[in-house]
Formats: sequence, C-alpha cells, structure tokens
Amino acid sequence: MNANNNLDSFSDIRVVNLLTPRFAPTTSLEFKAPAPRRRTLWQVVRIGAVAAMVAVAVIIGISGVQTSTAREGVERAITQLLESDSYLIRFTANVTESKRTQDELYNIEFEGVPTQGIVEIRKEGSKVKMAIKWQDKARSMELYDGESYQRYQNGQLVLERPDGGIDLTPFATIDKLKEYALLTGVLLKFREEGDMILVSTRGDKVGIVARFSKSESRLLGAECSGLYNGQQVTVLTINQIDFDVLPTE
Amino acid sequence: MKLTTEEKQLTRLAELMQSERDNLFRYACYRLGSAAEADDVIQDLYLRLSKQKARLAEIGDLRGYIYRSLSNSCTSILRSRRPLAPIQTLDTLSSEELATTDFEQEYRLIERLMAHLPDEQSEVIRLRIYGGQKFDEIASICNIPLTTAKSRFRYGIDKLREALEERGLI
Repeated sequence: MNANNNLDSFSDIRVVNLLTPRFAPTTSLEFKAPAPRRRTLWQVVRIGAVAAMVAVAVIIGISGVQTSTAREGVERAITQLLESDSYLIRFTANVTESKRTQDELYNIEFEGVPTQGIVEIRKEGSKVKMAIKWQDKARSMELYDGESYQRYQNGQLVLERPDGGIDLTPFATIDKLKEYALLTGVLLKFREEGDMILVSTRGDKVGIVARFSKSESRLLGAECSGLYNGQQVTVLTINQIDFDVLPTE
Repeated sequence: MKLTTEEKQLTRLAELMQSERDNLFRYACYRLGSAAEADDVIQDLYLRLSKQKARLAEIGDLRGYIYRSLSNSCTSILRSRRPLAPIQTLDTLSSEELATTDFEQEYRLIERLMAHLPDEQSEVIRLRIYGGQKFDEIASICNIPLTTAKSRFRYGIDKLREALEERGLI
C-alpha cells in the first residue's frame, strides 16, 4: 500500500496554508519518568503532615509571582527568596492529636479542632529549618533542623528523634515545580483574575489554592481543602505571611 | 538500579509524552482555543495514564491511545462549556478575517473552517496539521485504513476550497 505521507502536496495549498498555524502558543511542560522508588514531598501533602502542608502551600503561592513579571527577573527573585529569606506563617488548621507518640504532635483531619499556629521557615545553606509553634494549652513547639525533630511542651523537651527535614529545592523555579508536580501526580494550575493570580493544585484528597497579588508582588494567603462527607471542607488556612522576619521567641 | 515493570511503563509513557509534547499541545490548543486549557488537559491526561502503571503494558499502540484519549478529553471539555454564541458560518467570512494577526483570531478562523466539515474529516485534518501526524499514524490513531485517512483529508480540504472559492475568498 502506498504510505505516501505527503498528501498535502496534492491538496490545495491555499487551503492548507490557511489552516496552518502561524501563532501557535508553546508549552514548557516537561515529562520525565520518576526516579525509582523515589519518595516525594507531595506524598506528605495530605491529611496529616502539618509542616509539609504549610510549607508547600506557601511555596506554591510564592511561585505565583512567576507569571506577574518578566520571567528571568522573577525567577531570580524566587531563587533569592528561597535561598536567603525567612518566612513567618500564621495559620489555622483542623487538628487532632496523633495517636502514635513518635509522630508529629497533631494530624490535620477534616473533623479536627480548629487550632492556630505559627510556622517559621528559615533556610541556612542547604538546610531548611522549621518550627511550628502551637497556640495550645501546653504551648507546644515542634522543631525541624534538618537532622532531628524535637518537641517542646511547657518549655520542656519531651521528644527528640532523627528527621531529615523538608527539601524545598524542587520548588526553586516554576519549571521545577511543574516538573515535580507531574512526576508526582499533582495537577498544578495558574489562573489570573484581575490583580490576583490563583495557583491551585489538585491531589487525591486535598487541594491547595494560593492567592497572589500582582500589584503588591506578594502572596496573600492560601487554603487547603477537600471533599468530606460530600462537602468542601477547609482544613488549613494560611492567615498571614511575613517575609524577612526575625524568629519569634 | 533495576526498574520494576511499573517503572518501565512510566518511563515509556514519559518518553513518549515528551517526544510528542509539542504536537499534543498544538492539537489541544487548536481544539480548545486556549494554551492554559491545553496545558491542563495534557497534564491531566499524563496523570491519568501514569496512574494506570502496569496496565500501560497491555496497550499495544500507546502513542495512538494517547492521541485518542486527548481527543476524547478535548471533546468532553468542549461539551461541558456553557453554550456560547454559535460558531459563525463561512457565509459571513470576509477576506480581512483571513489575515489573522494573533492566536485568538487564528483559532476563531480555524474553528469556523472546521465547523464546515464533518467531524471525521476535521479530526483527520487536525491530527495532520496541528498534531503533526503522518497519514499512517493518523490511520492508526483513528483506527481506519490508510486510504480512508488520506481521502478524509483530501475531501475535507476540497470541501473547504470549494466553499472559499464560491465566496471569492481564495
């Protein structure tokens, strides 16, 4: 059988030219197979892991700046932000106490009790240090210094165990973020609504929506929510984010 | 490190999606009229397929399967859109509208031209011109004989030529 694939030459070239795209947009999507048996940060973006969930919600939000101004300048800004800045994030999460003592203090659950907390993230060299300070009766504090996890209650160290901390490097650029999302099964969308850029993810159980102001060049807030008993329930709200702040006491 | 069957299939899928990325994206763009939606539908497709893992091995023509799935996804999105103003026919098309200056105008023009054709002809033309597929590949994607793929393309182009000539547009 004649498998001539150049039938266009037998067709009316004027019509073919009319149909041929001249203004086709381009895409930056990258598809790469995951490294074998790789454990990913997205796996902890689920009901349960408070620190990772807050960090990812904020980092995804920060990445919204990408679409607001020139790409190179913004990428530099994001890189600088991730490499040298500290963040202080005030949040409210629906939490229940973990049943296993070696786990983190609280799990985020749909039916949990709304509890306020502050996450401090500081990057020191290649390490990301993080502290969660809970506004609970025991004034609980959880520390991640890249090597260990420590829990303090009423000012006393009550638990310490090795912990590798959280790797934020996959979020250094928007391309890395998109690539990471694709590798790990998370749909990432960017939408503009007036001055607002909405960055959203959709995972298996919960999704994150972050709001970014173009004119103010800053993240306004983020929410994590999912379907529970047929209703959309917000399990985590980022109330306020401050950059370049000194650690709280 | 030795790859598991699932990892091999995911690697195969990722390599295929990467090599076909621009064609898939352009096809979706000119079906949906939106680069953002095209990005989304392709990401969604990749995620859906990657969740099938080992089952991917059972799909003989994965390439054709990807294009068929993308076509179906685009059709679903177009159906789910709220009814908009009907696509204008070629009767009101002016020669000025043939000289497009951006993607949006170009998409609207192409949509109008495609609307003049039966679905099976427009699909072959889209796969050929926007998806960059060869006729034997189109035949495989559409599950039709090679001669049918070619004739659908030719009949579609001829139909458009006649319509445009009748209206003095070419």
